[in-house]
Amino acid sequence: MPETDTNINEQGIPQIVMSVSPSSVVQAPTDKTLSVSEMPADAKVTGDAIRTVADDLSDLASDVSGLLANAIGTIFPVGAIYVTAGDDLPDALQQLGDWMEIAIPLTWGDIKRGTRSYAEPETGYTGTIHFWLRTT
Amino acid sequence: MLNLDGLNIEVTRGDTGSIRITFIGEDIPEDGTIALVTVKKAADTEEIWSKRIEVENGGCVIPLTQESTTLDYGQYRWDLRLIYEDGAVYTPMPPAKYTITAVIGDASDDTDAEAVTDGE
Repeated sequence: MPETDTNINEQGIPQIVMSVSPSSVVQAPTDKTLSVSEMPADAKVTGDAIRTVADDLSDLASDVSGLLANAIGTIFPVGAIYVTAGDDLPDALQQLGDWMEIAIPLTWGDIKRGTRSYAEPETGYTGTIHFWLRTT
Repeated sequence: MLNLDGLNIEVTRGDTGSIRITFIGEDIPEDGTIALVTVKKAADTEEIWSKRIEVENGGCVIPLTQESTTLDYGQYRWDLRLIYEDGAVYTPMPPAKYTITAVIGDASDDTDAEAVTDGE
């Protein structure tokens, strides 16, 4: 509760001094972060502020996506070969440029034959191993 | 007799006077803001009297008329609430005591008291 004081003023009238604290004034919710501090929150201003944050997040996501693409492009430059036991080239690699599948008829059985310490893969892959060459 | 002890008001029954309220702080009410002063026997009882006073120059004056103080002896409660022009309400004080003290003489016009003059 605000502080109060009692005294006699210059006219000799008993006086009570009351502190009026702005923080405890009952009024519409206000927000110091809006364009006009302490004004009641405005739906349009609030909406615009949220839209700005959304735009910022979208820009950030775009930047992160670009950084990721650059990192993948650094790992797989033109001339790099991607090897997979799966059938498809991942989308992230396809978006880097053109890829050409190299026709090497290599299977898990070929690896087994050429390797002394070969162990059966537990991945469930049993077919052809694919080689992809980035051309552009 | 009119005594102030903090927010507590003590006034002799039937006395008149006034109490100046001065607001301080960062949100001093502007002229035209209404100060609602209310006196009740207790917070949950009907009001005995109330006054709506306009704030001027950062304060207001509560007039204590005979009607305001001619109550049964005893203790009452009073408070002041600010009603801003935009509808906001602020109570800058907790309920405080409003005490009517006993009086011996009767100051009303229709008494039987004799006029006494020095030397008679």
